[in-house]
Amino acid sequence: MQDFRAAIDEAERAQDARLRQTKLQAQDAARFTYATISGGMVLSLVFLAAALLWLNHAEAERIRTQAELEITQRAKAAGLYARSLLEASLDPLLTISAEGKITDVNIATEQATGLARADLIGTDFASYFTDPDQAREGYQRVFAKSFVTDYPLAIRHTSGRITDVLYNASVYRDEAGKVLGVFAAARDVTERKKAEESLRLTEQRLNLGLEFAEMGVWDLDLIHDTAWRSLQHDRIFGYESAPAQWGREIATRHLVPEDREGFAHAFEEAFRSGEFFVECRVIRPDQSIHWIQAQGKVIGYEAGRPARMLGTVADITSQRQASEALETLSRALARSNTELEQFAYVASHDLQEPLRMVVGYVQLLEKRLADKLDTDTREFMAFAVDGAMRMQVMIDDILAYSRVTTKAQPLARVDSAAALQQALDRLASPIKESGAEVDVQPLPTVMADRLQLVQLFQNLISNSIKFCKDRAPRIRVEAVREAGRWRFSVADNGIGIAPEYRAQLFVIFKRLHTQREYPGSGIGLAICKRIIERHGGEIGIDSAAGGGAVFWFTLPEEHGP
Amino acid sequence: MSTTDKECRQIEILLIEDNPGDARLTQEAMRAAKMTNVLHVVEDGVQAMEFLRQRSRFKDAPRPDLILLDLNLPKKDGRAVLSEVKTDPDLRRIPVVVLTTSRSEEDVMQAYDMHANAYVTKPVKLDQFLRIVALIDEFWLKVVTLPGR
Repeated sequence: MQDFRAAIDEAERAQDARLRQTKLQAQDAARFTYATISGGMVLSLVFLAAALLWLNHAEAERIRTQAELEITQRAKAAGLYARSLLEASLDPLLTISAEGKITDVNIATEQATGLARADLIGTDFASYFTDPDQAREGYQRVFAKSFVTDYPLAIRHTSGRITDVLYNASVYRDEAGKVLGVFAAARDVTERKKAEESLRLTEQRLNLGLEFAEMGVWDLDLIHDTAWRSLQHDRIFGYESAPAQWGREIATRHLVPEDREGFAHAFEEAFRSGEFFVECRVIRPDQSIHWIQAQGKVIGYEAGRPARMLGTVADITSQRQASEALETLSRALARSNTELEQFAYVASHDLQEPLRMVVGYVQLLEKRLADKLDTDTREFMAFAVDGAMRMQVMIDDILAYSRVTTKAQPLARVDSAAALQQALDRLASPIKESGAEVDVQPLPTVMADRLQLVQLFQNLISNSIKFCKDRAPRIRVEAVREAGRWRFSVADNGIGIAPEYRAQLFVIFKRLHTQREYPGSGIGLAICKRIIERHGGEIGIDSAAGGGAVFWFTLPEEHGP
Repeated sequence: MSTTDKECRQIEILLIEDNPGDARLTQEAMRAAKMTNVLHVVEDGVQAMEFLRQRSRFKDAPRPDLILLDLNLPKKDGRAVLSEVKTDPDLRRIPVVVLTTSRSEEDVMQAYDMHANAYVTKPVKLDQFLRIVALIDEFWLKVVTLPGR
């Protein structure tokens, strides 16, 4: 600004000088003409001389006028030059007097403030900033140090819009060196600030993500084996304050010896593929062992060799422990399933053998001693056989019950109408004998184990038939869609079940009637419940309108391929 | 072998069964069916193979016309016996009827996979058992044509 003002002064001084010189030239010319005339023909040519004198005077006058015009034009040009210099800047520029009043502004300042040049000139410069005190302080500092650079201020537009700026300002002086005012140039940093803010936000979000994921960041210089790390990285290695030195070599020394080879291998792999991935165990300074997972990318090469690798590290000890616990649990489950299968085998073979002995030999005795036995003895023997036979049925039932899980097939899409038809086919003779009518409504495709669904329908329908012994069974099977599942129901016109007994209905070997009333072991509904539970559904019983029972169960809707 | 031969010749059956109660019941059933056959009983798989290969104390054992095999046996179990018999070119023609308590589906499958000729589950009730043994005798010793010894 000083330069700018000095340039104007210089221009003005130069114009004054030219003006003066032109005047002198004009006078000289007049003098020269006059001397010439007087030198030759003083007397004879007095008149002519007088005429010439007049002419010369007119000429001088013309030259003088022209010079003055030129000066004015030059001065104007200099002014325009200065103004265009001002206006050429897209940044707000202003000059301020020693008293703190605005003396000139450019269009950019008008735009930043929303005020016209005329309204700005002569007013207190500080009033256009969001923080006038800070503006004044900056102004004082210019006076004290002759200049300031990158002084942050914010210009307030009349609309309220704020423009963040950085001011560079310096004093300007007159020829005598007296400070006349301050020239201030602002740089609009709104966009830069926005970019900085956006960068800061991005970093903040990233850091938050890393913080919540408890992830550390590392940036490894592969050539010098040094690394920049985030604090979390060092925490994962067991340090609360950052160790001075870090690198691949040092990291390797922190690993349990058995995992070091795998760590080295991960580097080799990264040099080949560009991708680094390793899970290994770290021994912290407190001797505790932690599982870590490190991932990275080779991001810099020098002379074709990997030079820089950037990545993250996370402590995965708890995940590892959880997955190990899960593994232990699933191993235990597999073991228990195997044991259950073994049990099932024992039930189907070893437990049957002694029963067969009891029954076989009691009956053999009965045969051999046929004519020697009295009624009591025959009855006792019949009880022994009957007990053994019932025991055999129960063993079979337990076996069937255990098979719901040991013989389970994965759930797949099953047409429940077809499954029901298969169950009805299996029940063909009891249906015929009882005169049962089964009303089958449209049934959906569901996710199920087909054989188990058949067994479920079979058990429920045979149950309905059984409890209609004094009348012709009327059974209705239907399904309605509920949220994400199907609710099936098998309704009958049988004897129904009193609400107080419904809870025990699905318990294994639980019976509501004597063998004489309704024979059975009490396994059917327990198996139904187990099948439905395995399918993630529910099973229950309601009363039918006519006094019968409505058994209902839910199955998941079909999904996937 | 002709029908006449069958009627004349003594039919030899090898029962491989560890439970003496079961073995006896089978014998009783055969007696009840009035079969004219000789029932040889061995108690485990090792003895069974010795019998079939006429070794040690079974040096003079006859080659059986039919083998009744229980699956669960001490020492060498019924599955191993079945496998050995059915892979031995010398023995594999002898029909093997698996006669067991097991109703396990795996046992059934596995037995047929190893070329058992039939799989029979022993029923609990005496009458049924007697009937089944009679049927086995009837079928294998009277209906089918067996290979020559």
